[in-house]
Amino acid sequence: MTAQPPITVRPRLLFVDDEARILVSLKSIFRTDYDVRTANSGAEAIEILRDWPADVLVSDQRMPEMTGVDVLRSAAAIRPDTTRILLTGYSDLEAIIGSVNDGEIFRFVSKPWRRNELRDTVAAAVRTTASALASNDPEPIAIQSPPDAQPAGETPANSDQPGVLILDADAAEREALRHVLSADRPTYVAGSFYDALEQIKTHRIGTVITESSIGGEPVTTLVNGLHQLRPGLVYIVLTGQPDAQHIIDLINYGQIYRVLRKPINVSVLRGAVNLAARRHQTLERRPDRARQLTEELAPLPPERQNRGLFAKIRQFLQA
Amino acid sequence: MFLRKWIAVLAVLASIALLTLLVVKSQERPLDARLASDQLAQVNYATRLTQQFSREIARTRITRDTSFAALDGTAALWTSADERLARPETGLAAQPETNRTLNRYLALAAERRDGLAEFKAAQLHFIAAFARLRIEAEHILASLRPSDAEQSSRTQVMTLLDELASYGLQANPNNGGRIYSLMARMNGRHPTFEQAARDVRAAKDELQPIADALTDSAPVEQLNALGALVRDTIAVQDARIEHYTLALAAFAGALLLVFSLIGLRLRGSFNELDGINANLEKLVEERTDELNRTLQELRMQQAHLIQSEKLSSLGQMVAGVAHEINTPLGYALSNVETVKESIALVEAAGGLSEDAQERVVEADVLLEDSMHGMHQIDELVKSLKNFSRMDRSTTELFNLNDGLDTALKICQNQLKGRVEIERDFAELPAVLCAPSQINQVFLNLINNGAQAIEGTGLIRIETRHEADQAVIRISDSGCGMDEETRAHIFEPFFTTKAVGEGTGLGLSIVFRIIEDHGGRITVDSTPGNGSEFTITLPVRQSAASSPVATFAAEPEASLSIGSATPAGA
Repeated sequence: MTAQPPITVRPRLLFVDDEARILVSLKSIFRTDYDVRTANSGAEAIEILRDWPADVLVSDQRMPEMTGVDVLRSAAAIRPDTTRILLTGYSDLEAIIGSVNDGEIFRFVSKPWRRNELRDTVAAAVRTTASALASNDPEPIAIQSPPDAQPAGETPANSDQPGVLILDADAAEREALRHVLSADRPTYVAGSFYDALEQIKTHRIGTVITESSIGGEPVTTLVNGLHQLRPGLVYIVLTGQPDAQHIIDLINYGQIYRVLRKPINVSVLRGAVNLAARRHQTLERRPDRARQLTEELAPLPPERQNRGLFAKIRQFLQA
Repeated sequence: MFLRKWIAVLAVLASIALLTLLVVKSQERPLDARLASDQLAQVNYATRLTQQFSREIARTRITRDTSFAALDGTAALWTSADERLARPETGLAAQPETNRTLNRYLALAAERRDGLAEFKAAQLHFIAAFARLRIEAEHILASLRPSDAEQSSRTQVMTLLDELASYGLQANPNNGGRIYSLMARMNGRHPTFEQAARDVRAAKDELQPIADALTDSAPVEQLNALGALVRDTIAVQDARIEHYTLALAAFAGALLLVFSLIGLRLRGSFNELDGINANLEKLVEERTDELNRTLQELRMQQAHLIQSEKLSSLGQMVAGVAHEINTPLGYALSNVETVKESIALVEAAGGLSEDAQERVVEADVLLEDSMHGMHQIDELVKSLKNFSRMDRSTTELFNLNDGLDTALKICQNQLKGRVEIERDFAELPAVLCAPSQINQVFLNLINNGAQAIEGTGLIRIETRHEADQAVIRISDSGCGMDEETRAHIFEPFFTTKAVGEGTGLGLSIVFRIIEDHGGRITVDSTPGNGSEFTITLPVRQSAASSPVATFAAEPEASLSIGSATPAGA
């Protein structure tokens, strides 16, 4: 933020919703501080984006013809730096997972929104975009990158490169995942939150592959806490019985990179891990941006904080 | 099968026919025997008459009977007997051999009777000759004196007379020589006497063959032959009947044997049947038990299905409704907030008339209320979403107090103004459970409590953490229930509500869900004094979620991560 020049150009917001009154309402909130444009459909939004580099794109999910995830995916292709937010009254599981994997969204906001919260979220999104632009280092985008693409200068299974931590309560499953991934890079396993913290403390880890819940406890708190401990970590969440609310929480409080449903397709998993490694690499090169992203996470509600775990993480932070 | 049946029927018919034939054949004897004995009697009668005729002839000749009354009577009887013999109904003419013999006899008999006239004539002739001889003899004897010489003549005459009488009497006289010598000794002294003597002898010699011819045994022999034939026939018939009787006995014996065998087999079959029946009864009992169990199981499953169907429908409805409500609610709430902010700005700017200032304050209050209302709508939709748990994981660590609050919010409308809620929640550890099911349990119990209350009342909800167990007590001040109802309330389809008001599934579902969670549910109730349901759930239990395979069965070669998951609808 300190590197930012004084704002002479107002941040650009693009809202997409098939309900015009939503657009009117949103515009009334943001028009004083932002350069706001609205689109009644996904196609219109994409047209606008081509000529108009929006800082933040806010899209509804349930729209005729082009769904929110479609819009986000296309937007990511055209304007990778534009921060994407999904604002929706209800969306099914597929849409939520799609918004992570295809839309790589910054935040998932439910309707009806709280005016001030939405303002904060949009502001955070704008700051994120600014930091991305300032880094001048384009993000790896799924659509543009072949899944197995390796950045130049890297060789597979190089022990110098950051490793992968697999957090899974099921030992057999842990080992199976390790077996699949250990050929490409160092792989570590953990069966509990505390094991995971130990591994992260001891080893150089870039990507965390985790079950959505460990022993019935969602990993949201852990991921949120780990962001503060290791800002550059990239998270891939595996889930057998996906829970819409958990995934939304993981987006908002954990900024997860991918969600993979079981049974997992091995090549999809490896592609996701490669992409995650590249993203980690980018963030490692730009620690300020990584910290920025961590700062922009939605604050975890106090009742959701696992005090014991937080204490442990804090202990780690101080160590 | 068809062929066997027909063979059996034919066998039965054949044996009946054979039996009938044998019975008829063996019963023939009375009729034939009567005929045969009749025939024999007639033959004997004819024989007796034939013999009587012969005797009459002999008697007539010996007694020198001239009336012939007895002889004629016998001949007449004999004729009629012969006529009877010859009649067709006597049956002797029926067979060729008996017929031949009969005819031979009849011819002989007729011939005898025809010779009767000749015999009579010869007899009369003889008698007449003898009468003349006696007269001649008396003449001679009367002319003799009782001197010695003459004495010898007298003796000679008397002797000759005796000899001739004897000659006449005997059938085969052997004194012919003596008669000739006596006559030779007379030497012509009594020529008329001698002539008379010669006449007597001649008449006798003439009569004797005729009588012999009439009394020979030929007819009797024929009759005897005839009788023998009849007896033979009877014997043959008897033999045949005896044969049939024997066959009948044998057949009856055979039949008896067959029946015995059938009986034995039947007995065996019955024994077997008895065994099978006993077995069958046991089997039926077992099957019935099994069926009952299956029925119970099915009922539970049906109840479960109906409930999950209801929940699934509710989930889909909630999903649709949530979006439809949240969109207008989104801009409405946002707009109110914006307007409220604008009003605050206007107010801060100042320069408003007193009236306008008042209006602004009032508008602020009204907008605050609108916001409150819209937040309530938001809360309700969220509760519905939480309750239906569409797209939520089935098993997780769950705060039971939150579940109770969600359930209370859902049925708020039913309770508002009528039923007071008293919450006494202790801090509970998160319980690993299926929140959607537990929510359903809470809603069911609260709803039941509310329905048990007529007019106003109180529902008290208490949660406690007691020794590794989460305890939830839901009590109402409603009508309560009697022992009978209390015993059945956890059975599927049991309901105390009017037809159409309740499915009777609620409490059976509650029971099933709590059991599935390894917990217990009990009820305490007195009629008129309300009911209290107590649920006990273990705080720690193994997750009931079904494991999901880690990897896809067939990894697809090169899918880009970008298209890994289809875009949401």
